Amino acid sequence: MTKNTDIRVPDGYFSDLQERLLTIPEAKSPRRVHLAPYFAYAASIAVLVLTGTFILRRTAVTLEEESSSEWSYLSYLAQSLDPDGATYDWKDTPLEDQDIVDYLVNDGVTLEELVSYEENH
Amino acid sequence: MAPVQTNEEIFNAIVRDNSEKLYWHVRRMVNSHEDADDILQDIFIKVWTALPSYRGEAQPGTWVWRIATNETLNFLRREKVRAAIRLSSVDAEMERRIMADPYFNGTAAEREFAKAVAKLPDKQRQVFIMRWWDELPYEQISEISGTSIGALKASYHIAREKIEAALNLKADELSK
Repeated sequence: MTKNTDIRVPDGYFSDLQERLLTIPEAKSPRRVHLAPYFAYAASIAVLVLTGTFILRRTAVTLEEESSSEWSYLSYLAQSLDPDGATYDWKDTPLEDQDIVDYLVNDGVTLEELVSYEENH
Repeated sequence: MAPVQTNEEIFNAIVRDNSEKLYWHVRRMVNSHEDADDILQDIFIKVWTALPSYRGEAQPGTWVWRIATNETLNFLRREKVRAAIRLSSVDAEMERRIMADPYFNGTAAEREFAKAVAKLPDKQRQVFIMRWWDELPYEQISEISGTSIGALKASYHIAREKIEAALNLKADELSK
């Protein structure tokens, strides 16, 4: 089987990709920030939040309990699927040889496969 | 004395030397041209952002691959959470992507091969792709992943056995 011939890219894709990537420094360079408009936005948002809070406290039924349990469920779900957390970094948790078995089991390798590998090598 | 390169010059060299290789790696990991394109953009934004703090503790290529592999794994983790919320599975989504990929022009056997690779656990798949398609030496994969060469060889070996088993199963199905 030959490699890298089974998938392709649109015509001219790689030159277009490089052109786009090379604009990143320009787009992400620090710029002088004019703070005055941000203070105006912040003040408007603060007024809206305070007004909203006042109205909600007086009129709305609290949904705190329900949203809290929904959030807990989502957090639980995310943690079960991603026990290492979103910031997991291989570089920061180097693996020693004695941890190979743990690593492979975490990687989805079954103990039967490990035994088979040991027996054949 | 060699002239000092600016961050922008270093970044441009990193893009020229690595963007195509990283595209193929990410594309194999996520099985979608569009997602690979988005992830590449995110990878190089991170590279540019982190470049001032890069102190040459690893070769630039290895350092960029490290960012790329982490970014790709994080994308796949987010996909898993999204799939779980939809009560679906990432395996099914990956298979669907391979079957529906408009940029796939391989044979039926190559499609089955891609499907078998897509079923591997993320990190094992990453090691397999880095060896099989990207043809990186174990030493470099070890530097990228922070994993010992012994563990990588074992992981690759087991991945290959799983793929062979999946392909044999498919061949048996077709022969019936």
